Amino acid sequence: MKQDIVISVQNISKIYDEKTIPVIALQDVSFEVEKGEFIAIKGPSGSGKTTLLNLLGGLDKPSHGNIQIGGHEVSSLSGKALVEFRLNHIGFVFQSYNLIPVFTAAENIGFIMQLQKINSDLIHKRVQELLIQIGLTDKANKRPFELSGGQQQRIAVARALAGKPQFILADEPTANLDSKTAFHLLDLMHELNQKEQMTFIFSTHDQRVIERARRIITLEDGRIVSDQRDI
Amino acid sequence: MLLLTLAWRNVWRNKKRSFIITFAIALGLWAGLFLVSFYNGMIGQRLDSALRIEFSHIQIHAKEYQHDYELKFCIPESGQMMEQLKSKDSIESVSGRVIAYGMLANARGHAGLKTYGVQVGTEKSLTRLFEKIVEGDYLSPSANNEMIIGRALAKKMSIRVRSKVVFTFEGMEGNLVSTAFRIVGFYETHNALFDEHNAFTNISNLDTLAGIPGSLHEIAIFVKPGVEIEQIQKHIQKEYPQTIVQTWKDISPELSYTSSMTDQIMYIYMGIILLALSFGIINTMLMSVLERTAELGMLMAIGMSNYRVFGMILLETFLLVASASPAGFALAMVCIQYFGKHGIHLEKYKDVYQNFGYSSTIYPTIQMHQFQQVISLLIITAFLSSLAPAMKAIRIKPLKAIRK
Repeated sequence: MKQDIVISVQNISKIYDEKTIPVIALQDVSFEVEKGEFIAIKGPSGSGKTTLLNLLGGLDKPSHGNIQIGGHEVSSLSGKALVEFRLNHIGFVFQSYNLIPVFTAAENIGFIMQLQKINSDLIHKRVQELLIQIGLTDKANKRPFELSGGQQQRIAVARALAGKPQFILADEPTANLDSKTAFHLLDLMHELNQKEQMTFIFSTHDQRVIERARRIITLEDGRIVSDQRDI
Repeated sequence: MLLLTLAWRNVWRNKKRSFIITFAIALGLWAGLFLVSFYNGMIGQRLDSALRIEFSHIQIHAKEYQHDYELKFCIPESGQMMEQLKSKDSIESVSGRVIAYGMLANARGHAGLKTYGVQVGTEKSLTRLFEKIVEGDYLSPSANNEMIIGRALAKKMSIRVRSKVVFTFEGMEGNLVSTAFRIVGFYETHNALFDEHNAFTNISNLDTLAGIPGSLHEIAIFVKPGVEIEQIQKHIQKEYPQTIVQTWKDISPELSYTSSMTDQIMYIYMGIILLALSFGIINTMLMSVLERTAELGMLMAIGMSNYRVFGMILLETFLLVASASPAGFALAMVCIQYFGKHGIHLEKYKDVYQNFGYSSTIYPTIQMHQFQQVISLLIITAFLSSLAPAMKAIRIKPLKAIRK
C-alpha cells in the first residue's frame, strides 16, 4: 500500500508574518494521499484550506514540517526546479477557471504539454481524447469568452489532466458554477478519477463536492479535526 | 513557436492600444528617416557642388604655393605631369589652372577677386560650372579676354553681361598688371560666398598677362567612380614629391567633417525619436503586464518558467515594434522617393541656404546602410523597452497574483 502514496505531509505548519504579528494558518498538519484518491478538504473560511492547497502545489513554503510528492521534498525546491516540478507533477484547477483568453479551448488544453515540449502529434492526439472525455469536441476552436462557465471549467480540468500530473489540486472548482453545471463537472472529475486513476484534491465548502468525495479532510483553525475515508 | 503565438495574440488583445502605439512608432520612424534623408540630401548636394565646382577630388600645387599664393610658385614641369596624369586609368579628368588674386573694378565699384585661368575644353569635363551659367554664355575656347563671374558679384557691382571690367593684380616682378575683360556670362552656384569672389577666364589670357605662359598653379583631378581618392593621392604624391597633392578632405576639412557626420546625425535624430517612442512602448507594455497580473501568475503557477515569461514579454515588445516598422519604412520610402525626384523647395530661405553654401532645393536621399542602422536601433529600442515590463512580469508572485 505504501508504494502508492503520492503525497506525504508531515507536521507542517504555516505561520504568516512570523516576525510581527504571527497568524497561524496551519498547525502540525500530517496526512498521506494515495494514488487515485478523490479527496475533499473542507472547513469554514479561514480554516486553512487554501493555504494547505498552496503548500501542496508548491506555490508556498511551509514554516515547519515537510511535504513529499512522489518522493521529492517539495519544500526544498526553489526557482526553476520548483517550476519544472509543478509543470510535470501537479495539475491545477482554479476557482475562476483562469484559461488563457487568447487561446482556443484545444490550445488551452494542449498548453501544458507544449510547455513540457511534447511532440505536436502526441499533443494533438491527447487534446482530442480529452475533448471527447469532457464532451466539448464541438467547442475545440472556441475562445474562453465564447464558452459558458461550466464549459470553461471543464477545459481547465482537461488542461490540468493533459500533462499527466501525479495529482490535481482544485481550489473551490464549483464556487462559480450553478448546481446543474457543478454536478456535471463533478461527474466528469469523478469519471476521470475512475478511468485515469487520477488523484483529485479539492478545497471546498460546497456540500455537493463533499458528498461526492470518498475521503474528507476537515480543517478548523489550521488543524485537521477529522479525516474520514471510504464514505 | 508556442511563445511566438501567445505573444502575437497578446499584442493584439487590446487592438486600440496596440494600434495607437504602432501608429506612433510608424510615425516616429517616418519622421526620423525623412529627417535623415533630408540631411543626407542637403549634405550630398553641398558635397557634390563643392567637388564639381570648387575643389575636385584632388588638387596639386607647388609646395611653396601652399603658404604664399604668389604667381611665381608654379608647378614644376606641369605640362609633362598633365600628360602623365591624363594617361592614368584611375583618373577620369584632369585640368590645369593659373590663379591670380587681384581686384576687379568698374565704374560702380571694385571687389577682391580670385581669377582662375582655365583650360576651357578640359575644365568642362572636370567641373560643372558651365551648367551653372544663369545669364550669358560660358567661356569659348578661342576668344580672348572673356570672363565669367558669379551673379552675386555682378549684382553687387551692377555688372551686366557684355560689359567691361578691369582686373588688376600683382605681376611676377611685383608690378601691377591691369587688363580689361568682357563679362560674357554669370554663373550661380549654391554658394553665395564662392560666387562673390571667384571669376574664370581662358588660361591663355591670364598666363600671358601674369608672365608665366605654359605654367600652372593648380592641377585639379577627378578620379573614376569607385576609385579610392586617398590611394590615388598617395600615389601621385610619391610620384611627384616636389609638389603637394591634397584631397578635397585636406583642402576643406570642415566639409569633410560635415560629410562624415551624416551617420552620427542619423544616430542623433533616430536616437531622440526612438528614446521618446521607447517611453510609449514601455508604458504600453507595462499596462499590458499589469492588466494580466492574474493571468501571468496563473501561467507561472501551472509551470511557465520566469525565463519563458521574460521571453514572452520580450517577444511581445518586438512584435509590437515589428508590426509598426513596415508602415514606417514604407511611408518614409514613399516620401523620400517622391521628394528625391521632385525636391523640397525652400526658395523663401534661398539666401540663408546659399550663404552657407547649400542649395535651397533639397533632394532627400537615404543609403541602404542607414536603413540597416535604423533597424539595428529599432531592435535595441525594442529590447531596452521590454526590460522593465519583462522584469515586472517575472517579479509577479503566482500565489498573490492568482488570488486577484
